[in-house]
Amino acid sequence: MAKSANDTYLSPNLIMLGIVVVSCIFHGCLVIYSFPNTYDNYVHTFFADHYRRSWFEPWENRWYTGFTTTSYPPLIHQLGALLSYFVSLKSAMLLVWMFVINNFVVAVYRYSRIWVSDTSALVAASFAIVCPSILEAMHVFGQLPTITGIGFLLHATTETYKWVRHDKNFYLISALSLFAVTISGHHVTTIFGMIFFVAPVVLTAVIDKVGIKGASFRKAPLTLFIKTLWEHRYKFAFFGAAFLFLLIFVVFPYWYWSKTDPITQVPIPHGSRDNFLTVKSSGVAFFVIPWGIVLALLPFLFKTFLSGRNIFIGLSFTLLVILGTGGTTPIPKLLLGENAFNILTLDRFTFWASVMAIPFVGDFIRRFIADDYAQLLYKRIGRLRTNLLQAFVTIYLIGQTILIVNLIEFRPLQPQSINIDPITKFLERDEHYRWRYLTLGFGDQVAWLAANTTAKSIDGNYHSARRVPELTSRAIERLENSKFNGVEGLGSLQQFLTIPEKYHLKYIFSNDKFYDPLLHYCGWHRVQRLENGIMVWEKQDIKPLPPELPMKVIPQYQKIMWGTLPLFCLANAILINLYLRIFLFRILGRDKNPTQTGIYYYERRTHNRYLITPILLVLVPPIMFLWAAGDIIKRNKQARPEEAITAYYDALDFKRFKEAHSYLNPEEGLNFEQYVLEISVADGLLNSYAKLDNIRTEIVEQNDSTAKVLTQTDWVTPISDYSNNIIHNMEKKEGKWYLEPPKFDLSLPPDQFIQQPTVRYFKQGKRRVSTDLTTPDDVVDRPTLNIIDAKLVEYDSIVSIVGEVQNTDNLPAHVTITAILFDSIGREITKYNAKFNMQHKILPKEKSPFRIDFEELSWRKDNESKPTTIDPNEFNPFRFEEFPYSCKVFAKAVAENTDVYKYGNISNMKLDIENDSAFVHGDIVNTGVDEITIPELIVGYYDDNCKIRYVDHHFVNSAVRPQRKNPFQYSLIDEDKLTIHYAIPEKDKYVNGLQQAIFQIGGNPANCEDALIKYKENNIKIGINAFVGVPSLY
Amino acid sequence: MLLWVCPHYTDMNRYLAYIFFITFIFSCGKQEVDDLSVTDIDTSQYGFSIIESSIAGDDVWINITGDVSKSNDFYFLIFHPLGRHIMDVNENFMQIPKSWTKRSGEYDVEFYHFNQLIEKKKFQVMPREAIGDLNSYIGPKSIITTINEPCMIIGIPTDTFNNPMMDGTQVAYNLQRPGLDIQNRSISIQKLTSNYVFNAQTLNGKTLVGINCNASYSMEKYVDEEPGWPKQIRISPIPKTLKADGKQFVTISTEQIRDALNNIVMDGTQVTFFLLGDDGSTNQFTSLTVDGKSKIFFQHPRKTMTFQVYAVSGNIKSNTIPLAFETNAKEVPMLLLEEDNLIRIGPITSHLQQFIPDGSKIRYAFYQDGQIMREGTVATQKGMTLIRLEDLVLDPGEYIVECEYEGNTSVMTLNIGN
Repeated sequence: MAKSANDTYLSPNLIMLGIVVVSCIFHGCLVIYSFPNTYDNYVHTFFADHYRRSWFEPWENRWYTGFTTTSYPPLIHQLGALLSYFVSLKSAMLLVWMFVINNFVVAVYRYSRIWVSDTSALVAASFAIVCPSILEAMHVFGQLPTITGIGFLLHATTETYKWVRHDKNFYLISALSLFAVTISGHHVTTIFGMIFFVAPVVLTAVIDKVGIKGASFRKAPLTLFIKTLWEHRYKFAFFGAAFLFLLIFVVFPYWYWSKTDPITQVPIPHGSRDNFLTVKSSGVAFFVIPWGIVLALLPFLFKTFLSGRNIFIGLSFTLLVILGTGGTTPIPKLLLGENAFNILTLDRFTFWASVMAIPFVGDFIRRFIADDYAQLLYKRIGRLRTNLLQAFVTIYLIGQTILIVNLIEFRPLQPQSINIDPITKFLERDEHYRWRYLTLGFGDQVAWLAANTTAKSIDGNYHSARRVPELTSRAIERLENSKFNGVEGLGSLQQFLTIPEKYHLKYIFSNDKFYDPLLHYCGWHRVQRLENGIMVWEKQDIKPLPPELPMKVIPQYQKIMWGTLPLFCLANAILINLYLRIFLFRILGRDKNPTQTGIYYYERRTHNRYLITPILLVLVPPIMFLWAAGDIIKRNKQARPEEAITAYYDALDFKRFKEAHSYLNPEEGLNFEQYVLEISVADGLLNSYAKLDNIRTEIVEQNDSTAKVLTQTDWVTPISDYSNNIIHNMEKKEGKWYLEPPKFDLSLPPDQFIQQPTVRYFKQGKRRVSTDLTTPDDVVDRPTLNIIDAKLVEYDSIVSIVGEVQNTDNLPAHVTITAILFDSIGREITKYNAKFNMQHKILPKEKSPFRIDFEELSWRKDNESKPTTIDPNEFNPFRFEEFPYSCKVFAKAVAENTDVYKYGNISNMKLDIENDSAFVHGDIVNTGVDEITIPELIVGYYDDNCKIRYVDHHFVNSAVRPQRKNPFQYSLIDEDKLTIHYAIPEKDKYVNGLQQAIFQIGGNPANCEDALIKYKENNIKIGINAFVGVPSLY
Repeated sequence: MLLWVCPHYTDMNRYLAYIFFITFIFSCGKQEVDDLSVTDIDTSQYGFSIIESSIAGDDVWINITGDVSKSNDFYFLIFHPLGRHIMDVNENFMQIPKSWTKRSGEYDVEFYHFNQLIEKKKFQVMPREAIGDLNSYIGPKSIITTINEPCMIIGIPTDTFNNPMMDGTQVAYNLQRPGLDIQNRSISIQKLTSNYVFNAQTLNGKTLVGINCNASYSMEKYVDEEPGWPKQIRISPIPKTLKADGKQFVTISTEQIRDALNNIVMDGTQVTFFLLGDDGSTNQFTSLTVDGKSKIFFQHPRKTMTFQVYAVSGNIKSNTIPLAFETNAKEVPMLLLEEDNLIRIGPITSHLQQFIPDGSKIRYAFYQDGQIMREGTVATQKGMTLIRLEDLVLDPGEYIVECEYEGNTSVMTLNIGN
């Protein structure tokens, strides 16, 4: 039998107080630990910091090129900002969390009383503390506004129910005040909540009204329901109008922003739109975890929801469950439409469905533990088995809770915590904040860094506000994790790194060495490693930001609205719901119209107690676990040669060397220590910076005990992609196939101890220890350059500027070369910098060929599909509407003292021709004392007069250790594809801002004495551009 | 308010009477100023003269004619190089505040009554004596000797108020050129600045510059006079007999590289060495100059060959010299190990009866009826290496096996049965 509140020994309010205390302890302990590791907490902290610094100025300059905070409802941010005047910012956000989660628990209790008995509502409130979707939203995703929104929405829905049911206008005022808070907390929850929560509840309230009129619901005819609904049409119309007014008025600056500042953005892929059956990780994160044990109760829930007075909420629940399945079925896309489907994150539907189910889950738990369900089970399967089942469910619930709150430990969503103090100090030192910065590999800690500095980043952690075309035209959330966004991420990052002057980007804080080669070859250099291990990269010769940055002016009245209304709404709701309610109760007596109505209908629902639910409770958890963890359960991966090879490369890819070694033939005698040692010294692009993208195997020969397998692997690195073909000899031992161990280089360098005469450079910077700005005397002159030659050429339909530049000075130079193309009437068409096809560090008297390719900034046209696989070489040439009529080439240099490593040399190089295609091969010799992690060949093609024809580059995929050599092979270009259009005249060459023609260069005329090879009409020069991953300096 | 002031309507008249009375008393007590309107003043009777002081920061007095006490609306507008001031007139003999005359230059003084300009005059304020820091700038900070590259030094002497000196003021430039005595130059200020341009000379080194003007002195400036491009490169002789053992380095270096003025080229100048092998191979080694010399360490090849060596720097090519390497290994023994299905190559020893270096490459080829059926390369360890016949998957038949190391070749016959 159902127990009403009166049946309990303690008053429901007292029990509820106890539940809130438990919630405080449980979530309070956890949130301190989970706060820094979640997705969104730091973003909200950043917003709170914004309001703390400038409450009434919505414009925020610190991310992108500035954005307005009116693009996101501000309630919790302002609440955090308000509290941060008394406690630290992080503590303020923790306090906000505690308020929000406890408000939600109380809201669940109040909302549950619409549907179930008081006792069940109390159980539901208890379950809300450990509800898997809430745990995930709070401790994994950090969705503070979502939980704020749903908490206040449940309160508002409850009040709306009471208003419709009892016709007391006080409840309407109360409901509207709570809606106002919901809107200012999370407008999306409000809009969808109106459809999925409020509308069904209003209809249920009408049913209940009818039921009372007609003595019972079952006897209430449909016509009476419709008639009652029609009678109240003006009332509902008023309610709708009032709600609409609040929705527009409370966050009016948001609507104003979305109307006046429409930013066309490419939708960002989200796992919640995946097919959960094929993309298992998305299925686990966005379906299995948020539902948790409730999945086993789905039949029970549907039965409960889709019967009697619950029919409307049942329909809503059904719709939410379907929408929450993302791309698993085509239904959500059909229901939402293509556009909405690609914009919305569909996990929110699952979240709302799970919240909607909480009252009934609470009801089930109560019945399952101590009521009719328990009685039924006693009769059917006996007391012991029932108790065992109850214990199993309890243990599973506990285990599930532990798993979810520790999910970030099992599968970290963020990089290791970074101490940001050294970074903020660096930004403050020498006014480094006058330039923009970028972080790489920081995860969501970018927001925490931003909250602690006034320096500006070109990146950000709030993709809705992205304004930079290089970002909005691509489906990337952030630049800092661009390696996870494949071609679009790396392509976008490359553009920022190649033309950093466009956004005054000067400093990069790198926490991921994956990006190091890309930074180096885009012309960046290391400055220092901070105490926290973060490497600071710098691009020289970037202008600082102007003192006044452009900003979008927001009308003053909107600033005042935005700064005052949200907290006013909260205060107003608290006043109405606490103070006035108490005041009215004192005057009018206790609330005569409690929410609780579920008790009236409870008796009729007890028929919903099929044995299928307990069976599912036993079966579903293990099935879910097996499905989620199926990949990591051990099985024989060496049953077939292809499987063994795939497993071997997979282990190598994820650096599981112990496992990789276990696939090698043990009889070959290569022990694990030797294997790891050999691998650890074999650095390079493939070994240290590559990710396996694709693997194909083909059996060449096979018998019972041996096999030869052709293995084709495709590797992706930050700068290039590689395909590798290798034949593996395999041997079968005791039912398992093993690979022949790789052969390692056995050669020994001649000498044990090497002396290296060298020239090192040191730039003092400020010679006096001072916090003042650098004096003119401490500024080193720009090295003089000579643009020997430059031409506009076309190779394989790609227009480029090629040329050769020489450092005619006595200082080593860091060189940036820019080309601007003009049309026939002198309008600028496009401009771009040289990227991979030049040596950015040029020694005195050294020459470097260069090539500038022009890339589209918007990158892809609307009618083009994006590639499905990652390709860092993906290049989107600029589409010329008119062929460039003229061009100007600008070379500028600053004195360089770091990352100048010129000990990569070429040995035994020969030219070979096969099938009309020519290639050169030889060895790269490292005569220095640092390892060349990634050698790059810069290949210049010259005519007989030593005038440049074309420039190409080639990355060598393995490192060259000091005093050793590694082979390389490079295919020469196809001459037929090359068209030379015109040479750039002397007047259009500029060096360090001056026309080259007007200043003296001196020196000897350029020639081809340094050409390595002559092939057809080309003199070919090759230079080695060396990237030293771990220089001895650091 | 009314309720508070007049709690009873009956008292209202009395309170109003008080207010009127008090207002009347105060207004009667105010003494009226006998001020004349604009039209009542004959401005032609007014004027002023300036008792000039030509030095910045000194007093400047203005003597006004006419009775200025007749009106409060006399004032001066004083325009100076950085702005203007308004000075009210209340006496006939007035001083322009010292703080207003700190800027040297031309001052305009306009005498007004209301908006009517009465008279307008100018006076000059001269800078004080130059004293303290002398602003100086130099550039470029390094100049190349071989092209007589010019360098300009600019001196801007100022007084205590940072006023530049008058044109024609002499500024002394003192230069200490490398290897020369101190040179003194006196330059006149023109357009408020002075400058001196000098060209790089033949000797390298640091030129120090000092500037002074009266009691104003610059900080010491310097410019580096640096060598120019290499004029000629020569490669030093190399020992003639070298073993092709792959185990040693031969040092190839240039003689001291100098520019056209015989100065040693700057440290860090890049020199590229090219070694062209007689087998068609090319080697390119890069090095930097230290004290004008540049050298590379070239590892001996593992086979006999001769290279032609030359170097290039600053678009200048050096002389070419030959570099020959003699053979190292004596023979390449081969042995078939039938039981293990292996061919053992080695032990291969070198000219001092030691094993050839580990990792030495042995090229092998399997011939059948004159056709190459299999070929490859294996690396040695302790002078030996193995070829696994099983891996080669050879069809049954007779094969000629050939192995080659540094030009030394061995041959054996191999029979593979069914």
